[in-house]
Amino acid sequence: MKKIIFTFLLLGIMSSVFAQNKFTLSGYLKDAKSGETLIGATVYVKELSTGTISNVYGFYSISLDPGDYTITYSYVSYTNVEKIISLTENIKMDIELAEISTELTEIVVTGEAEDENISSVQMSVNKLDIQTIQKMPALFGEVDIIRSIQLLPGVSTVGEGATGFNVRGGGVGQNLVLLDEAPVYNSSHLFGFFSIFNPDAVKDVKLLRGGIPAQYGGRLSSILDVRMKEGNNKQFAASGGVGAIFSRLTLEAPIVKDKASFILAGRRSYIDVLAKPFLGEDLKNSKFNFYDLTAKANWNINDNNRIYLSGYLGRDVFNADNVFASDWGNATTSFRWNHLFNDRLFSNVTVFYSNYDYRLAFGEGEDTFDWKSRIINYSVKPELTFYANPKNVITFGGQATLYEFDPGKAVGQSAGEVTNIALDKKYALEGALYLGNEQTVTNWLSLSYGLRFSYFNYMGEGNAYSFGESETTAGRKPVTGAEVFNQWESIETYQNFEPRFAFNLRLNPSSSIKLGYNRMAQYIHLVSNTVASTPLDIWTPSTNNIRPTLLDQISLGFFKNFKDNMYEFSVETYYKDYQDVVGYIDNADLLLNEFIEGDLLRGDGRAYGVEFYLKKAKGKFNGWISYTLARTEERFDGINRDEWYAARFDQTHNLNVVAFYDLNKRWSFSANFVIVSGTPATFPTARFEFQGIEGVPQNSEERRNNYRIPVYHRLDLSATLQGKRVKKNGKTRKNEDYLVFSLYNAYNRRNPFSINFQNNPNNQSQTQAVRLSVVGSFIPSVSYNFKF
Amino acid sequence: MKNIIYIHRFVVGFLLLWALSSCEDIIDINLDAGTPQLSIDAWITDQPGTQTVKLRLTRSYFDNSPAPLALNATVEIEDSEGNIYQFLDADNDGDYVWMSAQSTEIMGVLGRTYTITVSYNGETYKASSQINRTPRIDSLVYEFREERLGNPAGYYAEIYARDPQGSGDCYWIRTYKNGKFLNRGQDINIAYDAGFSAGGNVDGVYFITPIREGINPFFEDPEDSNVTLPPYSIGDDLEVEIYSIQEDAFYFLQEVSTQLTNGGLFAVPLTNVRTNYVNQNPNSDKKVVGYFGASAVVTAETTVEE
Repeated sequence: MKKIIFTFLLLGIMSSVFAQNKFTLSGYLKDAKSGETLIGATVYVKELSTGTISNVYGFYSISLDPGDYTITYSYVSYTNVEKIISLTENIKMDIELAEISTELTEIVVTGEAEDENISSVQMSVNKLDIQTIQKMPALFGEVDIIRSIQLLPGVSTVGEGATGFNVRGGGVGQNLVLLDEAPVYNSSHLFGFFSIFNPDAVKDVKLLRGGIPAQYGGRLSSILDVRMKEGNNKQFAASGGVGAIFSRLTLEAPIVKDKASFILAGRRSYIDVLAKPFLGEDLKNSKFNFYDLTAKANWNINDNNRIYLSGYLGRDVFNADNVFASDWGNATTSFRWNHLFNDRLFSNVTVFYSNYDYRLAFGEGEDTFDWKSRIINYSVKPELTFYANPKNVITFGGQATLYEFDPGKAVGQSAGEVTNIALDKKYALEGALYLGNEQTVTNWLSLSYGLRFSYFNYMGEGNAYSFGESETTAGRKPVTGAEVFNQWESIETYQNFEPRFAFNLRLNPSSSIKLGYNRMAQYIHLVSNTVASTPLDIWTPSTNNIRPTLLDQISLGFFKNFKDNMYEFSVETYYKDYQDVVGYIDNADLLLNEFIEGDLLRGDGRAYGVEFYLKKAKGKFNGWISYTLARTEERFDGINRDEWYAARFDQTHNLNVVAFYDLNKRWSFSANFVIVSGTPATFPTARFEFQGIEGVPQNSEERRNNYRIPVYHRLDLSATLQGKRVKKNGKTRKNEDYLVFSLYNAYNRRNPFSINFQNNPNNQSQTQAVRLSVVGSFIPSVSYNFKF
Repeated sequence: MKNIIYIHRFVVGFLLLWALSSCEDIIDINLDAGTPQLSIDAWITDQPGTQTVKLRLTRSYFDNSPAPLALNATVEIEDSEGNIYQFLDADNDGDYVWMSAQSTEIMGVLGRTYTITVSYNGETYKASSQINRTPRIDSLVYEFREERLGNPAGYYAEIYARDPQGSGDCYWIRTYKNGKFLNRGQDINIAYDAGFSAGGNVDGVYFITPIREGINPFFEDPEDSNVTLPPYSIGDDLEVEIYSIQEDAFYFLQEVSTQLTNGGLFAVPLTNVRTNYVNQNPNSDKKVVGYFGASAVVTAETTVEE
């Protein structure tokens, strides 16, 4: 595979080198009103039936033989712009597209982008535009990106209260969540109820779950690429909302018109403020909130240079009367520099910093306990895109990331006596080099292929432990030695070639077959032994004892559009083969454990499934249905009698129905219905007693995940009322506002988060099964949103 | 440490769950009955009197009837000095008893290692445990506290005991309220040196607060389940036993505690707790449940007065 891809790459580069006597049309595509660059907008050359799309910075470039051309610029829900050009030299043309105003949504927009699902070589991609997300019913009326994405095929969660999301059976830690290219280590506020992204500040969201191109790596299952807005560079704008849980405010304005702008977006929840009157005296000083702040600025220095600076800070805070305190959150900063070497060679360098940490403190006076844990990384990522010719877009680049893991530092005080517990910090360096090409071979065949080389160095300073054999097959491995390493001294290195390949075979104008293969390597692991992922889960590097996990995934899909792209249909199948999956011994001890490696196991994993998706993209009544039939399994020596078993994220059936109905200019309605098979769990089959302690559960057959919790289903409804756009005196209002009424869990189902087995608190000799439903009733809410 | 984490989880989970109108309810679930396994309940001490080993069989998880008896077994314990103690089930109730020949004879001696051998249904199981040193109890005190963080007003007790120098000492602090052993999962109070876990670096000091205060049970009011009763009231009798245990027994108890208190957002998957019994026939896949412990015991007792 490696060799084949390398040959292809060479051919692609050669063909572009020999393509002479061409001129280049290039520039940026922007929103006419805000000046925001448009990602993935289409540039179509009528005469040649070919085209390109704008990149993540809104830049496009296409090289053609000299001649006269009709160029159509289009973007979904924007009016097309058509230009007739005479290409006798290189032309730079920035184009502004105007958004179709909301009153006109009934009008059918035709643009080449409408059949992108068929024409693009990328498969297994979930894209949601922010307008769609805003119309979906949401918990507490708060629109949320990740919760919306969970309604698309292949994406799921193990339930309310679980941090993060799962893609095609992968763990939460297998998703690379990028916020303006900086990785975010915990994508959730409040245990997954809300994602950390302020929807008002989000420009574009894309989730790749298969056929992943070479520029992405480091995680196995998916890439969630979130791009924040750059800020309106034409005029001041504000938007925001007031809801039941939190309020939002976004401000954006030009610093220098058309040259530089900024955006500032903040949210804060106020459950604690609202709850205060209902709390007893002793809890009056409790804090219970979360907030996030996004700040960005960009500057177009000249035609060839732009810089962007973005920062994000988000935290969840709990504090009970200063006796107990806990908080966690991400902070990221990224600096990006776009540079055009020439009309065909676009470059971007990103330098970023990302930090995730949590803290918990307990006690008062002479008896306290304070614990902190964090992961920090610093990274630099240069990338070049070479628009060789209309048939080849070559991307090459690299990335170097320095990690610092601080698994735990605690200070305890007992009756005034202080003790320090600090686990060793761990350091690692991850590097990657990649080369990829998107090649249009003919009208009916396009390819995307690339090769990524990744390298990981687990290094000092610190102790490298060695472990002996455990007494039982999957038992705790005893520490047999420790070796001290100096700063930067390499303890263990790993490297992998990661080939990527995808093709799109266009059967006819309305249908195509796509195939994608990718190998991914993941060098850092999110270890979690709880039923659902939590904010306290710890990231740990691959070490001399823990190997990186490798994944080979192959996906095959059929895509068809009907009735002039009114309906989109796709069916995709995938098979994922994992090597060196990280698992846990029974009763693993993962928090504040210096010898955590002794509690981890190495095993195999596999996942396969088929995903159906039918979308009605147009009309007053639109929406989609997605259904996934899947299986995810793992196997570890000494666990489950050495046999394969269903993994925690295994969901056999997963059906989502999302429907929107626009009644008139002011009222629109939406509903979504979800039904998912219960996830696997281990239940006891027997009990025993000892020394007066009763009802100790025992799984006599030593099976893992031998049962499933009951099926999950839920219906949510919402109605949106647009504010009047015309004042009484007949003038159009400058402001836009709307109210969202929503009802989450409409028919009041108690969906189980988990089933726990306990003794009856009033009679220890009686055992019982307790269902925990995190959302125990329906939740109505209203939110008010504005924009001016 | 671990317990702090559990407490943390509890508090955070509680706040969140309260905010989201979550609920817990008891449901019916059909579970397969596992193959019955021999359950050996043996924990000898350095206290005078008889020592008892209870042999039972496991029963299906929701079976609330008494455990089936395991009869006709042979049970003996040998100490590291070569003394052998025979346990007999004279009245066929599954309780195998050793009685001292002379009233002064004590089985458990500090520093000695005890090995139990149980033969049942053609299989022989062995386990060993050593009697380790205990801490010195300084005092068992109580005080009246006002309502705080949802804890009701009432009397709260603390056990002041100092862990001896040298790390690796483990203890099981067993509390009796009015003569009744507090046997719920949340009442399991264990210490590694003076703290919660190995590497805790709290050696040779007083037990840390959560352990000192881990002898205060909360029960809900039988009349009103929304009301939590204070741990102690005037007139209550309180007895605390500190068992010295081996490190492995510490982990066993920690696992039991985790399993019995599992729940909430931070619930962990159900797993079998460890056992130190080993089947002497390596080719047999028969396993037993239970843990053989040997402890020295120190006690303190008090009655709550005004």
